[in-house]
Amino acid sequence: MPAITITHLTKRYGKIAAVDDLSFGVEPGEIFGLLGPNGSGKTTAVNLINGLLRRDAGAVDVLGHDPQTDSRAVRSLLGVVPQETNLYTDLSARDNMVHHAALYCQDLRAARQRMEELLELMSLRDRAGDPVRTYSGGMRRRLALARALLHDPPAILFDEPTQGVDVQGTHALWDHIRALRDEGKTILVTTNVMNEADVLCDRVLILDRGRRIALDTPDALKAQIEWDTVTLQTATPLADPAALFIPLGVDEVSVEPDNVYRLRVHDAGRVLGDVVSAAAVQTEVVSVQMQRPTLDDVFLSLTGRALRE
Amino acid sequence: MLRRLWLNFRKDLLIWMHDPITVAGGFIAPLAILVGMGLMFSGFGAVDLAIFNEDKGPYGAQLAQAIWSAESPFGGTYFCDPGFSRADAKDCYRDNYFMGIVDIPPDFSARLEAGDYPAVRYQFNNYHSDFGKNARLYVDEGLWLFYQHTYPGTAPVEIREVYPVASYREWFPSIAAGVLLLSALLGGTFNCFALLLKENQAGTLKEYQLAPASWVYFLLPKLALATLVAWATAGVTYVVTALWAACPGGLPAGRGLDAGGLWWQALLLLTLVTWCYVGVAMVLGMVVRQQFVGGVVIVLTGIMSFFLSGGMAPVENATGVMGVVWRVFPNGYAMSAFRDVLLFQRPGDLGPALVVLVPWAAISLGLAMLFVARRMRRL
Amino acid sequence: MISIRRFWWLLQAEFRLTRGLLVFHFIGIMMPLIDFLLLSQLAPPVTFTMYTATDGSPQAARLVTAMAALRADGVPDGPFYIDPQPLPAGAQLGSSIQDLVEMQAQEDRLLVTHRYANIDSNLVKNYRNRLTGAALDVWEEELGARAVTLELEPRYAIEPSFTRYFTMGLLVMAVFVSSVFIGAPLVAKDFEDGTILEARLSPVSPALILAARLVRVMLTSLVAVGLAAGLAGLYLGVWPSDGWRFAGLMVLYTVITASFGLTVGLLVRKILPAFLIGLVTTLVLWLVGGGFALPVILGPALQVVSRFAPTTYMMQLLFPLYYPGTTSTPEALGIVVGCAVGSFGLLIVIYRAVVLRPR
Repeated sequence: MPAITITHLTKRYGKIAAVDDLSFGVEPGEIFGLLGPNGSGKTTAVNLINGLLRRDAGAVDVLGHDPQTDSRAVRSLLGVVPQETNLYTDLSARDNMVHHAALYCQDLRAARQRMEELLELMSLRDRAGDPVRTYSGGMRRRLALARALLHDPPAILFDEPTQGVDVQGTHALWDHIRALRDEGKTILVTTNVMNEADVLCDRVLILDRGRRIALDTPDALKAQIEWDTVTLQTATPLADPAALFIPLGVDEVSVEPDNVYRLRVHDAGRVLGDVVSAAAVQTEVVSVQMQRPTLDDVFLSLTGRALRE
Repeated sequence: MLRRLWLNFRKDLLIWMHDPITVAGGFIAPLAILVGMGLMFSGFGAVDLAIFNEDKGPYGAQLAQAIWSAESPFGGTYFCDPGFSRADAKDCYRDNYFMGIVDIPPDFSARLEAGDYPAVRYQFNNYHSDFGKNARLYVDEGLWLFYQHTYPGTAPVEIREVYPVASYREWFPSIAAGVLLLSALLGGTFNCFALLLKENQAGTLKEYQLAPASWVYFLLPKLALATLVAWATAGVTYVVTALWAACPGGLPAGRGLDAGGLWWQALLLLTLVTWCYVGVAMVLGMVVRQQFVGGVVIVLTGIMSFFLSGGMAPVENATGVMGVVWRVFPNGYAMSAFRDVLLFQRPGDLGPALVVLVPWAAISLGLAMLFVARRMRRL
Repeated sequence: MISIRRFWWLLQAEFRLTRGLLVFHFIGIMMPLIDFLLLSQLAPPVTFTMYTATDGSPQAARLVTAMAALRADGVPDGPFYIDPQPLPAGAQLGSSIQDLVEMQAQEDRLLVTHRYANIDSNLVKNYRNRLTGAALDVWEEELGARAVTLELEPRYAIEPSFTRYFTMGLLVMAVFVSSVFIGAPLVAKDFEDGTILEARLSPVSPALILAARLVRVMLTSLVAVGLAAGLAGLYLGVWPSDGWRFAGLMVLYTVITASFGLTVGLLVRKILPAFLIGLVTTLVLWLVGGGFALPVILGPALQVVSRFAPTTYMMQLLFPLYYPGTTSTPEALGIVVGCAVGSFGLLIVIYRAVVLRPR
């Protein structure tokens, strides 16, 4: 039985359908990703789940409750980390947590101890007394996550978790999210970063213009794409690269600036050596890269557009 | 050079026009004060005094008429007949909407003719001594008129009033002149502060920090726009005052503000006072982090300057603490000349005002611009 | 999830938010006090110094005596209205000499020329009324039994200076200003910063959340009015005659003003505009409600408006506490209670519509 079930969900703004006949389920204890470009309906979907938006059609079930008719129950079961970090910047981390506890926690007596545990877990304890406005982007996101966990919700909605966070902070946040999954929590993450969805999520739903395009594990989605990409850079331009490479089993050759050649092949491992040797006959080969399909390639093949176009 | 200045000015103008909060911010406080002062001090028309005449003879009615028709130097009567029934009048008096109730008994005329101490009952509101004084002395004015009709030629005292001017300034137009100056300085300072803060917060300040062109192209257009906005804000206040004067129940028509051919003097004083404050606004725009903090400081400084430096009434002859405090604000040095122009259409004594305001404005703007330039690390 | 402990936590959290709005707290509490100190300077003196230049005749002396004797009749220790002074040698009209009464005895009367400096018409009226009053007394003395006797029935047994009434107005202003200047930006800041989402997604009863915010604003307003009452007491020696009744009335009034302040914040949702709109509406409602002077000075239209301002009835309720021997109108308390209930109800309706209803 899924923890979160969305059935034929639709939300319109005038003539535009922000979410259009969307259906999916999030299993308990999984990290489920909503992947799509800006404006694809990810945040709208999240706000329909947490009850901030009223749906025009369809159904939403969060652990047996409808957010539209039983909003209070849903809110006690959900932890939400919104896209825009909504912390009281003049208050300290601890004060922000206390405020949240007053609004969300059932057992206030236990909340204080849990607060300290979460601050420790998020490596914020040393700075817990400092005003949030002195925090880095990553610290603020970790505090927002700690706050969302304070009332120990079984499900967490995380809208663009690593937006504005540096590389180190991003990996730290991913580790925390995985740890939550391992504890059995249900996590729904929205992102427009292909790599994040690939690395973090157990399953990914690709969303475009409010519609479901694909839903599967990242590996299964990538497996739909039957070609690899080889990127080759030479010291000087090659004469007639298409005539050079296609006979070797390359499907498509794209010429890019600075003597870069992007080759689409079915099995890069099989043709890589031949390709490099053929190029080396004419000129010096500066660099070679081999890339398996990415979710960006999946999106491109399904929609005709790149994820960040 | 002019083209560069114009392009920067145009950019600032477009930004300002697209920010309704900044546009409105300079107008709201002065208009609120204008409305508030208008409610308190304008249209000092007649107050309601109910007179119930049960006199069987003619003198009761004559007394009532005299009381209601006694005239005030404001140009109207002190009292008016509300025309209410006794029960309603009693309620209105109880609820503080009437100044008082006069009861003239049936035997008033009889006793007056017999010279037997004719008496009337006068209930009046005396919630503070000045109001109680008015309640008593306004009726005395009515009695004076009554005796002039009833006992002609018997007055032992003949009073002639001699005024040095053809008409006196009423209090509300005098205050309105102060509000006009306030609206100009608030409009200009708010505009300058908000634009600078916006540039600071949005990071567009870096454009100027890294540009080879002089910082003058950054600040002079802002000063020009602040001046224009100050004039526009003052213009709105001027129109509102004129409309108030034209409304029924407002001021007698034509008793608003009118600079006549001396509008340039009013504009000069207004501009100089505004420039004294724009310097402060420039510093605020670079220093504060949140718009509401700076906005509140500006509004409250403006309001304080209005009350403390002659916005309500002339302060040049004030003594004690007030005699010192008003000198801290540039407004006080301009108000007399400003009022002379706007209320009496006669040239104000510009000399003393300019001697103070010109250097004050120059120093304020100069220091502020240096501060901003330094903050931008251009010096 | 309703409990005393939770309410206490919410209330504490509300007070912690003061840090982000210190400016408004300072203004909300200090502004009425500063206004009191400033505007009390405007309180007109009752006794005016009027300079006289006489010819030494008995008629002139009689008028000068009448001027000196003119006072507030009908109340004990009523103030004198005129302090007649002979014109100092070499002095002239202008600057410190604002009016001059010249007296010249003629055959059958005293000719008085009343000259004025370049002053406003309100001052002219004041000087003229006083001279008329004194001259009337002289005339009535001659008329004897033919003069009209005014049987004075002043409404209040004491006739204090304007500052006593203005003290009442200040107290009402202190509550109103602090509630609106703090309540409106407090709510607006939540919207500007996005922290309103915490309340939107909270499973706690919205009534509890709102109650904590309301109580927080009320408590601050009560501190403000306490300071104002203390200032008035220490500066003027004016204290309410019944402290408990005073406190009870103020608690009731803070419900109205705090609800109003929070409502403004909910409707405007931006800090600076909420502050400015709060400033304007507070000022207007305070003025038409008799905060500065009784509604008797307002025109007919505004008198009608004043009947809808809670300030009007609050001022009526304060009268017995500051004017001994008076009572308030019987319906005033009922109206204020009704306004408190109504304003809180309206706040709940607007809160639900703006914060809780899904878009």
